Amino acid sequence: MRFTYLCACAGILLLRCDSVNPSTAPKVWSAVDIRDQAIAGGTIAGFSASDWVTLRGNPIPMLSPPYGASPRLQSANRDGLNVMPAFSEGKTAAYAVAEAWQNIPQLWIQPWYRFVTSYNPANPAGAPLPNAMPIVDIDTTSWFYCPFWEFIYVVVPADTPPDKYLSASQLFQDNLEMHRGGSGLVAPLAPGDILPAVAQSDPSPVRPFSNDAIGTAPAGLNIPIALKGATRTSTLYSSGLFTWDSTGVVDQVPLFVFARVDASGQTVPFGLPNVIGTGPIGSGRPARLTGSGMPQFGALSRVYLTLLPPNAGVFIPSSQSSLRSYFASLGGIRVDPINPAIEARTDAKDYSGRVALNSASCFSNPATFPSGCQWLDSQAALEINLGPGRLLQQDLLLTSPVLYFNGLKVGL
Amino acid sequence: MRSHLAKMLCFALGAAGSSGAAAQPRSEPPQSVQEPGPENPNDSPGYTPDEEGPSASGSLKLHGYIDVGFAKAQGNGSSFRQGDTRLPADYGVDTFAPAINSRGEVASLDAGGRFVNGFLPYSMEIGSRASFFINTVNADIQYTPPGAPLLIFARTQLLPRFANGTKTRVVVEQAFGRLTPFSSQEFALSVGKFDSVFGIEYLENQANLRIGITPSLIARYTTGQSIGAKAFYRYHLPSISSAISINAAVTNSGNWVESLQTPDISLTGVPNGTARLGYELNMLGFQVKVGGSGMYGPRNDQQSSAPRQRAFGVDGRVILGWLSLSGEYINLREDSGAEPGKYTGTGVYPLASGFKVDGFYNQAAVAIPTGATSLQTVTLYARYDRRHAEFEGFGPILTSRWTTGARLDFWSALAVKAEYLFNRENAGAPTVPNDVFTSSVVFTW
Repeated sequence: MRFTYLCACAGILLLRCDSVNPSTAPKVWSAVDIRDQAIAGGTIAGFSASDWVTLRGNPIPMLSPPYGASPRLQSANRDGLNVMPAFSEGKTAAYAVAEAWQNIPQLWIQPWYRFVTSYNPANPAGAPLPNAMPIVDIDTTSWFYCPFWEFIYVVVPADTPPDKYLSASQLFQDNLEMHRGGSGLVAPLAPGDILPAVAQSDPSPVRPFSNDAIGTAPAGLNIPIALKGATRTSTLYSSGLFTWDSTGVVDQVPLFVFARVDASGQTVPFGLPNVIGTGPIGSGRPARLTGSGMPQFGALSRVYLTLLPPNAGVFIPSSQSSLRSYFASLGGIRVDPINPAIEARTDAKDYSGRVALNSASCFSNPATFPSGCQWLDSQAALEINLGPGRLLQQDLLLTSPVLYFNGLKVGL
Repeated sequence: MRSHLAKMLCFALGAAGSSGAAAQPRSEPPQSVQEPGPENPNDSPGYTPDEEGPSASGSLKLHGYIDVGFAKAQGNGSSFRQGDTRLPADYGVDTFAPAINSRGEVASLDAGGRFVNGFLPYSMEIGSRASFFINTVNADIQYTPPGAPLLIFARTQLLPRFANGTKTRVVVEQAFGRLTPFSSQEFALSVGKFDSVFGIEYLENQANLRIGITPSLIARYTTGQSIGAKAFYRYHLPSISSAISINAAVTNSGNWVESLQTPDISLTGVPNGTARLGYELNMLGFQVKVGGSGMYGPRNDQQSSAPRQRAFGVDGRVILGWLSLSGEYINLREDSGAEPGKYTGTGVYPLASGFKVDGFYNQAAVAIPTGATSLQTVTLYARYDRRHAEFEGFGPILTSRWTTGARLDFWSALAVKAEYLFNRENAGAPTVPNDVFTSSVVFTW
């Protein structure tokens, strides 16, 4: 009897178990997951999935009204990762959101095995095994999946059939010679029909607001890889354009997303160009650039919703009257008139969508434009001018390969 | 001779024999002739209600043992392979494989600076160097209050460790009170910190009880102590020389070892339920014991009770003359964590992945009595373990191990043991030299 009572008590206690709270549960949103959410009209950590992915044949949000004069439709044969306009270090930039990481604090680099028939440290990839697929060992179903890969060179005899090895466990089973490569790839696992968005009317992806072309048609980004014996597709964005620490943690930077508080009290993004940081908040880390000026930051970013003070205004030329009206209707940000002489500048497009703390005065004075403006277009400017109270860290990391920076097309 | 043999065989199985007080293993220190072994009130016949009723004067007893080890492991003493850059480093190998003592501590956890996510045993951190060490200094206190059907027991252990390995600790391994309310029934209620009730390997947790030295590859899931309440009941069927028993517990952490889930507090607010149903056939010179176990509840390395863990297992033991055979199987599943953070005995880690494992061991032992007063018994044993495990999104790994060794028992107070572990990575995990020679000298009082 007592035992029965004990069991009953235990049962009652077990009935009290929590249910999983989606807002706190760790989750990897692969490119497929984001697309599925976009199809369902869903959100990811408060962001509409369709902000990041445009389904095939649909209007690309930031190239269509109110941002553009008429709808510009995504290519009919694939879905598009929206090209997100941004600024970084005071320069124009653009990125895409390829994956999202909700409630996952950091990412760890994973190996990308490449086959070579001999190893030369000075030119490690100099003797590739022809037609052999690279191998990775972790899928998007793991929380430790990471699209940031470190090259591991695997030495095999020259007569090795290219399809002999299709899983990492085989490499270890055969005790193959391996060498760390020291650099890596940003290459999310994604099907071949999810690539940076290209409007049907355009030959290549473009950066909204400035309409800069940011690359060529991206179909060539897809490469086949082997994963646990199966062939998968990876989208190759860049090589050598990220960093990691000695324990394998991929360096992340803040992504400042300008936001407002709506009528319901929710903090929601404006839909403005965001700001890509260069190092941890408060670190003062300078931008890491390659010798050719490519950014080695930004491919992994943590979202900070960024609240603007009342005096901040956005630069939108008068030619985009619908967009001016749109932002004016949202509230929470000034849309001040711009002096025609400023609008006539050849570099005016580079300021489109940029936010200044003193927009009322600086947009009206050609003599002091742009140096007289207090632009919020870099991590340092945001940290100094807004302070930590307006920078709201989110439990959201993004695989956000930089596609364009300071006039350079970034990536492969 | 016959009685002594029965003692040894029961001891070899890690459970008491069927002959009541005579079968009390010398290595179950808290017991007296008529007292139950408080740490093992499973289906062990060691549990024998006091026919005389509660003691009028009460009793206080002190027992204990010292376990001194010497071991040498291959490689760097760990299962991590140099050059394997997959992360977390502990997801693609079996970190528990190179065990060197009865606590399951390993020779090393040197992952070469790579990130690990807390699926780890404790470590003696001797690496590949041959070394002596103190495994355990164990002290038991048992008290029976006068006139009460109550037993109070505490087992405290000092674990001296090198600072670069696991820290030196004092562990209260067991601390409970047990009430036996009915003199006519074999029924007991315990509250406190006590042994697992899942399967049978927990019966060999202590170095002086274990035939060999190291635990099996599945011991991490079944042998952990935890805090809570449990009830044991056995119903005898004398007409067929049989008994049926049930042992059930509600505890903070289920049966996991402490390095993987803390037993000390409930992190979720909801207990784990565990139970074992057993059947035993006790005949002269021949015993069969079989059981089925189950566990269900929240994983206690999370602060949300939503992620569950569930396990079932079967076990069996056969004793025939000098020969004893035993085996156990477990199938366990853990849900993914519901929040960031994984809280284990070895630290706090970022994420609690979903996990599934199944595995088994089989052991054979021959305990040969010598008839001498000094060297009383020579036991030879061999065990085969196999474990198939997979973290969510990682590939499965299949590992196995052969363990073979010998044990010499002197004067009922000294055990000298030596064994060799042949660890094998059968699939998924990189092959790595991680075999172990280990030995142990256990002084019991």
